[in-house]
Amino acid sequence: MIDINLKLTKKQRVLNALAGEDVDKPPVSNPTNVATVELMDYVDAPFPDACRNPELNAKLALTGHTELGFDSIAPYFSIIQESSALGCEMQWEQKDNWPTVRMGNPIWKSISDIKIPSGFLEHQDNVAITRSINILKEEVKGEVAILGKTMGPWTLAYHVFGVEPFLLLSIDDPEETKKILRKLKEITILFGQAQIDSGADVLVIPDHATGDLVSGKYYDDFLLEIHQELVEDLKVPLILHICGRTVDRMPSIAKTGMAAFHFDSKNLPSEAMEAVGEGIRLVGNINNPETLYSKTPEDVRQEVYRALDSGVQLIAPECAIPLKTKIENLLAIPDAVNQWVSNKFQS
Amino acid sequence: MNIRPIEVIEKYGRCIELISMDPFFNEITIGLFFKEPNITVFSYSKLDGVSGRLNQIRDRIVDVSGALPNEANPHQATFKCGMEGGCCSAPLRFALKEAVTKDRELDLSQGIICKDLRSNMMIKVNYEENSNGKIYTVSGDDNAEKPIIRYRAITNGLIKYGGFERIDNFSFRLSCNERNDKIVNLLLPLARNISATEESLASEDAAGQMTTQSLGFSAN
Amino acid sequence: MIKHEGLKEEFNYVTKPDEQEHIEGLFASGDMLMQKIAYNLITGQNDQVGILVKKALDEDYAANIVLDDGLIAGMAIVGVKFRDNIIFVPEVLISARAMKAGMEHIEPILSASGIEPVGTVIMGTVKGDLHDIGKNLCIMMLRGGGFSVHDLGVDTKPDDFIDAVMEHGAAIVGMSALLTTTMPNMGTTIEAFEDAGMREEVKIMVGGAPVTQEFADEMGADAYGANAIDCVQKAKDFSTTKNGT
Repeated sequence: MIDINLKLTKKQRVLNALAGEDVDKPPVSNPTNVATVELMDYVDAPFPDACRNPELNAKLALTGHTELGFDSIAPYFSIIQESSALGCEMQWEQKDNWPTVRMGNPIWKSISDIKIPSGFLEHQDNVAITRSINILKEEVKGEVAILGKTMGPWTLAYHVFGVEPFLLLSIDDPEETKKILRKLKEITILFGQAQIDSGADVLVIPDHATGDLVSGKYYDDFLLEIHQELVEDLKVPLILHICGRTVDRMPSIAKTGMAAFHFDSKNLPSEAMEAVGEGIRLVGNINNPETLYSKTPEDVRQEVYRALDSGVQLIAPECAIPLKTKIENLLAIPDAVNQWVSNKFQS
Repeated sequence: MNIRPIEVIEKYGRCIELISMDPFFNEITIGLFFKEPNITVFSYSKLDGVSGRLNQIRDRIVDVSGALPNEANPHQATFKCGMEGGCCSAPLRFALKEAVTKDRELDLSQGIICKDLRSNMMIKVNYEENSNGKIYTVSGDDNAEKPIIRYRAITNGLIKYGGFERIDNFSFRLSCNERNDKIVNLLLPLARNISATEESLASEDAAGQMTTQSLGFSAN
Repeated sequence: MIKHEGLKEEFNYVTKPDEQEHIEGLFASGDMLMQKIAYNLITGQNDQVGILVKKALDEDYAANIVLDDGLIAGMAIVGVKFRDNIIFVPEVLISARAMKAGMEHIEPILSASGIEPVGTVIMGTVKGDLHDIGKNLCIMMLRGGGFSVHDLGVDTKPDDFIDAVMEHGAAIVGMSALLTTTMPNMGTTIEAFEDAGMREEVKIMVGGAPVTQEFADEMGADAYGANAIDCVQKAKDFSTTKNGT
């Protein structure tokens, strides 16, 4: 519920919204990232260095609060940090592109290969995140919500086994697949806890069991229970992120006990709200490649309004922002929320 | 300069185009902003020499697009029409790309001409003033199987990328009804093959997007 | 006609009349052993497919009959189910593996008997692109369609395509791109064939999520494959023309 008389810090706003409690206005967040090439220049923290150096990382992450007016900041920009620390072959790319794992050369073949390397948390690419969270915690002094991120076991499995081999295994030997996911879950928890210990207020769990590759039933069979367990294992609000068309699996996602689900623009806000009912809050779902990237602030406003009118509790782009997104479109998001609240409650 | 993003937008207007990595200057990001009547070349980078590079880009934009430099600001330019209502802004994304990423002269000594991509024709765009105003007309040496189809297609391309006004199937004028051979010359190569240009633009737009395809989490 | 009970249930997923007619035609002989092979392929039972194919060959079924009436016919239903989102990638992968298990018995016979493969195809994902799931599905379908396929993998340079065509005497090249940023490399590869004076010697087809018919035309490709089934059809169309054999 919105109570405009409340006086909340940005962090309180985010945490209240995730808990389903009253807020003064819907928070603007981005569970997946805020990083653009312009902001990289602004704070002199370009990719890929900003992904690998905690000081640069923190500078870039902070701009989400200081320059864009979002209610949260998120230092983990991509989805590959811990996979790099596990030893995956990496393609770090350059300033205007995302680092990726070379899944064509997977590091593991079977459950017996799964080993958390010694010094895993001290690896450069994990420290880039945990140390950045330390720095941000000092900097924001509790004013702004810090969102950590730790890959779910399904995404980790794609990275370490390769997509095709893992999908074959999932159908050849579902029980073995579940065992693998349980073992990989240990990595999710280890890295997630490290971020909580560093000061993260919330954890985002991307776990890419998307409709592009697997059915909704797969979510029920392989991930629902694990996601429910993560809620017990990681004692901060959790936001699940799955890209793509996910309405078929949203009723199950609503049973995880996670605080929120970050959903994609391929799902209408109204149908997503109906699918999850009262079970989980929703974060999203401004379209990236068209609206945020190619259209105008007015188009952004319309999508924000549509999400808010449907009852979406936290407003965000649908996924990691395209790196060449223009800042004026990002500024339009908190502006639109403020305007919507003003129209609705103050006129 | 420590100007903040919100101040940049207030001062310089909306961002028309970004070049994410300047290949000739430390891979800084170059933005082209528009707030009537000026376009402004801008970068958030604080490296030494940035101002000089922005000035250089501004001068290149003037050279390739027929814009008029703002004598009071080395990073700004405008067009003769004052860019009222966004006039002359449509082709600027191409002007910025040409100015930042290419290092060549665009020669007008032979007029506005270009070899066709889909035939052996030389395409020509002629200027005249008549009752319809300051008109550009697409023609060529007819050295193709169906030259009329090519002239029409190229006219469509020029109108699309220039934001021009159509007069007929082969003629157009600038919305401000001014003469600007440079801007037409800039767009002519792109107009020869709209599909290829569109694909090229889409390819640039796709860089830096995170999707299930770019992550490798999709079968198609 | 379809007599196998399990296969009848699978056939229920084929709802378009023209596809029903086509697939019923594939099972026209009514042979139960062939239908068992098809059913086991659809359900991904690769060991069973291997056993049944061997049994068929031992019982003097012609290798090309087993290929057409058993394996290819089964794969046709898999293709429809995948396209219609009844099954997803894991299910297709196990069917493709079952196809491969059957082909292990058939390929040596086809080669020894002097029966030529329908054609030879070089497949690869273009330079700069590391994605291969779609390409791999096409390869499996092509092999099921009787083609000999050489997989160049991902991030394939134009020269590698050219070298492979020369080495294997291939007349068909298939290129895949999953990223809009790598699509232009299809054009680069086609230009490389032109520069090498080999453009007339091959038919080039392209595919992948961001690729369109229009793009294929612009790049100078001979065909665009909208999906794995279409890829096979385009390859077959090439094979019935002079350059395709």
